[in-house]
Amino acid sequence: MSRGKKRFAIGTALMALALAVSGCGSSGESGNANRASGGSAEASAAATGGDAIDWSTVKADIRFVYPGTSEAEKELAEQFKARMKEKYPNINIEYMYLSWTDMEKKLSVMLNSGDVPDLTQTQDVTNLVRLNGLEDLNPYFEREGETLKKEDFLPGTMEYAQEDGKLYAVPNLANSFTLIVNEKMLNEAGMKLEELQTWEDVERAAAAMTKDGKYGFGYPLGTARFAFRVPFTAAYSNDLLLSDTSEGSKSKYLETLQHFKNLEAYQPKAHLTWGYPEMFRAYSNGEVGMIAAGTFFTANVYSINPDIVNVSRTIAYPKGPSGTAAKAPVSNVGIAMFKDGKNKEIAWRLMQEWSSQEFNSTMAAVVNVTAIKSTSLDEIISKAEKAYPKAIEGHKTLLNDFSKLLGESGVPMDKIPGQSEMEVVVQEQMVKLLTDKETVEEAYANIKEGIDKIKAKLE
Amino acid sequence: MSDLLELRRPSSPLIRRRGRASAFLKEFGFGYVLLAPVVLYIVAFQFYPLAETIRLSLFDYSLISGRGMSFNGFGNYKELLLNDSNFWSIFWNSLVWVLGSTVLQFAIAIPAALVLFNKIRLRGLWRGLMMVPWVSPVVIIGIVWKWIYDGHYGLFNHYLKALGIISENIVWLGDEKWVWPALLLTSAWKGFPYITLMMLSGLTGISREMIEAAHMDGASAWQRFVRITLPMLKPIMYATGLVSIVSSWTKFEMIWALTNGGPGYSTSILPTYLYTNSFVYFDLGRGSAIATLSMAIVLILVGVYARTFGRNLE
Repeated sequence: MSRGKKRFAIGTALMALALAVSGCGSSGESGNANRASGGSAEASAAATGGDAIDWSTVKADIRFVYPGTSEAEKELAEQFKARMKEKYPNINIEYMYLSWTDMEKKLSVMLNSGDVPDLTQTQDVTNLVRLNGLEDLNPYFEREGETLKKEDFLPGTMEYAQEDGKLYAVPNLANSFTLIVNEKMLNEAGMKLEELQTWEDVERAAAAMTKDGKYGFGYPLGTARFAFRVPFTAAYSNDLLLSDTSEGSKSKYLETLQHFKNLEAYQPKAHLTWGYPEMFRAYSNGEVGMIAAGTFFTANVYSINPDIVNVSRTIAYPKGPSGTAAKAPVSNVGIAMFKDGKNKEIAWRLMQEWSSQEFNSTMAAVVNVTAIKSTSLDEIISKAEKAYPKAIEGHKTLLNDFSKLLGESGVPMDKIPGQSEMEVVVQEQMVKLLTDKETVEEAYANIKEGIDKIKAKLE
Repeated sequence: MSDLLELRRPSSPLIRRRGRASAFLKEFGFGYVLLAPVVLYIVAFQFYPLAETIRLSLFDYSLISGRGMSFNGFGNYKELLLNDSNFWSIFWNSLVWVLGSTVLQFAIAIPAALVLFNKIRLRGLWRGLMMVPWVSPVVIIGIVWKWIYDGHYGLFNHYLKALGIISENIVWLGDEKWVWPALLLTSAWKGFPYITLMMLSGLTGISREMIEAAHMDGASAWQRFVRITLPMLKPIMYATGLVSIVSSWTKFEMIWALTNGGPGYSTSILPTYLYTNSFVYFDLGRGSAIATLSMAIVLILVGVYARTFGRNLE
C-alpha cells in the first residue's frame, strides 16, 4: 500500500472509530493552518543553519500542541507568542491547549490523518516515536553555526528524549517525581524532615500526621496514570521498575505493594477517586501531609493556596527495604517537531527561541528546574518572584531542594513501552488491595499476569 | 415523406427508455438533487467508515507495536470473546448502563410528564426548567456530578449527613456497591427531560373525552392511568425507548467524566473500552473489533426490544 493510501486508510479508520465512540465531534482548534511560506526557507536553511533566511519575511502559521494547563504555564505560552510576533511579524503561533493525558490521543489522530502540527511539548517520546511522528533532531544540532549545542544540557535530560541513538526533543526542564512534605504538619506531628530516610519513616510520619480529620498521605487512585505514577516513584527507591515482573524482583514488588497497603490507614477514603487536581486541592488545604508529586508542584498548588508553598519541602522518595538509596527518577519536559511538519525550519527556529535563556528561565521559574546548564539561577529566581509573589520564599526553598535532590538522588527515568495499558492493570489491583479485596500476594500475581500479557503483545 | 413517416412510427426500445428516463428525471430529478448531499454524506461518513472499521477489525494493527499491519482473520474477536477477562464484565456493565438508564429515565419521566401536563401554576416555567439537564453539555454535567459525589467535599454526603441518613462519608464513585446507582442516577437526571417531553407530546394527543367518559363510568385515577393513558402512550414510549437505548449505548462521555471507566475497567462500557483500546493503547485492530461487536450487540438489543415491545402498537 502506498504511503498516501495507507495514511488515508488509517485516517479514515481512526475517524470511523471516533465516530463509533462519540459521533462526529468538532475540532475547532485543529483549524486550517494557512501555511503561506516557509517552504522556501527549508531548502536554503538546511545547509546554513538558518542564517541565510531573512526571517522578517518568512510567513507561517505554526500550530503548537501545548499541554501546560496551569494559569502560569498558559501565561508563559502567551508571552512567547507575543515575543515571537515582535521578532518574526509574519509567524503566527496558534496553541492547542491540552492536558498531558489528552495530548497523545489527539496527536495520534492528527498524525495518522495527515493533519500534522508543527511543535509539541513532550515528556516520554516513546509512543510518538513509535507512531513515526517525531523528527530526529541530530542533524539540526550538528549543523554548523547552530546556537544550541548538545553539551548545553544537564546530564540525563538528553537521554530521556533519545530512542535508538536519535534525538527527538530538545530538553527544557528537568522533571522529577519526588515526595512533597508539608513540613509544618510533619513538625507538629513531632518529626523532622531529616528523619524521613526509609519507607518505615514515611509510614511513621503518615501515622503521626493522621489526626483531627487530617491525613498523612494522599495517593490519587482515581486516574490510572497517577495510580501508577505514585508506586512507580516509590519503587525507584526500592531498586524496582514497576514494569519489572521478573522472579528476581518479586520480593521488591511485594514490599512496594505492602508499603502502600501500610499507608492506606493514613489516607482519606476519597483518595480512591482522586486525580491530581483533587490530590493537590487536599494537600493545598492542609488536609493531607505528604504526596508524591514532582517539579511541577508549585504551578499546581499556587492558585489554590499560595501559603502551602511556604510550608512545603521536597525530598527523593525515601529508601525502600531492598533499595540501596533514595532515588528520584528524572525525565524531561522538552519541545519537539514533527517528521511530516510543513514548516520544519521555522519550527526549529522557534525551538531554539523556546530554549533560549529568556524563555527557559521563565519556564524554569514557573515549573522549577531547568535542563539547560547556562540558564541563570538568579534570573529564574527573579522571574519566579513575578510568577509566585505570595510564595517566593517557599518557592526558593523548593528550588534548592529540587536542585539538591537532582544532584544527589536523580536517576534517569525509564521509558516503558505499553505503560498506558499497564497503568490500568496497576490501578485495578491497587484499588482491590487497598480496599481489602485481595492480599498483597494476589495483587502481585494479578499485576504480573496483566503486565506480562501486555509485554507479550508488544514484543 | 418517408422521413416524416419514420418520425411518426412508434419509437424504438432505446428511444422509449430514453423517454421514460427523461420523464422520470423531469418528475423526480430535482428531488434526487436535493437528496444527493445527504446521501453522499451518509455514504462517506457513515457507511464507508463502518465498512472500514469492520475491515480493520480483521487485522492485527497496533500503532505502537512496530509490527505493522497484518491480516489476522477473526483473531481479534477470538481474543476478545475467549481470552479477554475484561470483555464480558464490560459487556454486562454496558447492559446495566443501557437498561438501567432507560428504565430509570422512564420511571422519572412518566410522573414528571403527568405533573407537567396538568394545569399547574407557572407550567411553562417548570417545563422550561425541566429541560435544563438535557440541554447542558454532558461533560459539564459529569464534572458537576463528580463534585456532588466527591467522597471528601461532596454535597451529597454533606446533605445526607445533615439529614442524619449517613454518619460517615461515602465514596460514591469509588465504592463497588454505590458506583453504579450513582452513575445511573446521573444518567437518568441527564436523560429524563427528553422522555418527559415526548410523553407530554403523547399526552396531548390523548382524547380528553375518552378520559372523561372513563371518569363518568367510575374509573379511578389509577385505572384511568393504567387502562387508558399508558396504552395510548405505548407507541410514543416504544419509539422513545428505542432512541434512549441507542443513545445510552453510546453515551460514553458521562462515564468518562465521572470515573474514566475505572478503577481498572470496573465501570467501563463497550464504548469506553473501544476508546481506550484505540486511542490510549493505539491498538486499532482490537478497537475496531470492539466497535464491530458493540454495533452487533446494540443491533441485537434493538431487535429484541422491537420484537418484545413493537407489536400491537396500533
